[in-house]
Amino acid sequence: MLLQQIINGLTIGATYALVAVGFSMVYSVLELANFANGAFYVFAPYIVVLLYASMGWGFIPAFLIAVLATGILGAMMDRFILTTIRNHKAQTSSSMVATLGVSTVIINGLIAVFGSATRSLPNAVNIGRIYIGSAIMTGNQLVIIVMSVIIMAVLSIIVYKTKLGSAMRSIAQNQVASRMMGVNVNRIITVTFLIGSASAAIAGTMVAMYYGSVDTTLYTSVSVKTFASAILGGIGSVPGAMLGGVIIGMLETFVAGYWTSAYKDMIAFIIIIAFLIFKPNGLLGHRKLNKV
Amino acid sequence: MALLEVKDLHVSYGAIKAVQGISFTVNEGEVVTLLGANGAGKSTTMNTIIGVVKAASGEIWFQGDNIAALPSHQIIKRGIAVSPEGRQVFPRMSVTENLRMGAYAYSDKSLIDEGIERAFTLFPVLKERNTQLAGTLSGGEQQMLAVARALMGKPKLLILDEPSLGLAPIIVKEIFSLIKEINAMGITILLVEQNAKMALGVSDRGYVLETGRIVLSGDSKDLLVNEQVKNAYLGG
Repeated sequence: MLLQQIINGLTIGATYALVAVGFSMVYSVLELANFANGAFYVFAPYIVVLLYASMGWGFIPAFLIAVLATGILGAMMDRFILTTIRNHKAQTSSSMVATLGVSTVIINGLIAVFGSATRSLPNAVNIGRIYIGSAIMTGNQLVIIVMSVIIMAVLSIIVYKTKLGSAMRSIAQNQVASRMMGVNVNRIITVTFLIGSASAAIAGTMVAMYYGSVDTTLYTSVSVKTFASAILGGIGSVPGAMLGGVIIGMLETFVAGYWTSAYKDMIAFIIIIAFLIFKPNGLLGHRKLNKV
Repeated sequence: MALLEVKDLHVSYGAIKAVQGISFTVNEGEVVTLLGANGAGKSTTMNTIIGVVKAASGEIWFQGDNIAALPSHQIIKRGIAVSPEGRQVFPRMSVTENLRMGAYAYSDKSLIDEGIERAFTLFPVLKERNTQLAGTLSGGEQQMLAVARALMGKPKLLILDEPSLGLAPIIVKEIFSLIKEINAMGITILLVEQNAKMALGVSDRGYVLETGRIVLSGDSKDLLVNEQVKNAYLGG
């Protein structure tokens, strides 16, 4: 029973971690909470439903197109809306409201096109199951965990080992100095949105596959859990977001498994509130350095 | 031909006119000082040259092209580097990572390795601390890092914005002696300072900036004995 809960918790935690990493990357370059991230998470599985379940495409091409389309959508949101707001030197809160607006447009657009009823997404991964003692790991769970780990490893390499990543980190630490070094700040931020939205798309599609369905109400719960994961890990920290996501996924699975699933979504809220009061920098976050 | 020529530059922040029609030139191989008190418009001028602040009007010619309208990443690529006021190192990056950021505009690996080698030769203390996070360095060390970072791409024009600010006199001396050394490497330097004695001591020519206008210019050795400069910057 315990092992089974751990497997279930790890599966869902891995997807939260993946969304939270993308969210955190965007947060760190702009200090902007991107509310549209949850909408991208929901947008992608609908594209998969359209291409794979309705139009009969293969799963892999449908999945790739959905991730690509969502990434481009995120980049376009930055390029055409947020860049304009930044160039007017408006406050970050203006951008935040803009992302909230974009998320509303996406969610309502999805409802308009697909209806508000739950849409089913047939399982495409039929690779059987693994027995670990008395616990079972389904093929789906294995794919989710392995994919999340691989993508997070790739994201970590991008952030910490590539020139693009250096640019992202430099913008997070000092945007003006980054420009002085020759960093094309707006372009790097747009690319960060592309990566963040694509990560949300991958996580959203995997979760929809796991549950066998998708509906737009997922938006609210995933947004809160992404926030909670990022705050728990230390907002802006990539390893922190991974850790935060896994912890939240585990906790809510345990609450659902040993207590009642009615309260599982409460965990994220309790964590947000507790950490904001007692440890606002999170587990792996850094304190803001005072500028001289 | 001048390496850098600023012509009738105006810069405003909203209603505040920070720079009001200044013109000056920096010739290849020179060290030129832009002298001025706080709020004279020195840093605004620097930031406008590298495109971080946009000019309201005027021209900035670098190597025969007007760069006033270009975005900063294109200006930096042309060979201008800056060590900004207040150092502005990346606090949560190591010394070496900060240096690499200085060569961001270039992708030539040998240039980067060469740059790091040069930085460690010029500033041995940076070599000792190469893995340390820049935010944990002392003010003097951060200043050295900021200068070393600006040198990474072997710029044609190096802009040093108040390198003496907030540093102990002995460190200031060390940094100014390096300005000569850097200039001898063939790098033209535009030095922005309040410390008139030190700055004019290492430069060929100077301009004095007051409330956004150039009020005086000439050879550094003449400015050093000028009554106006003496009264305003050298304590009479």
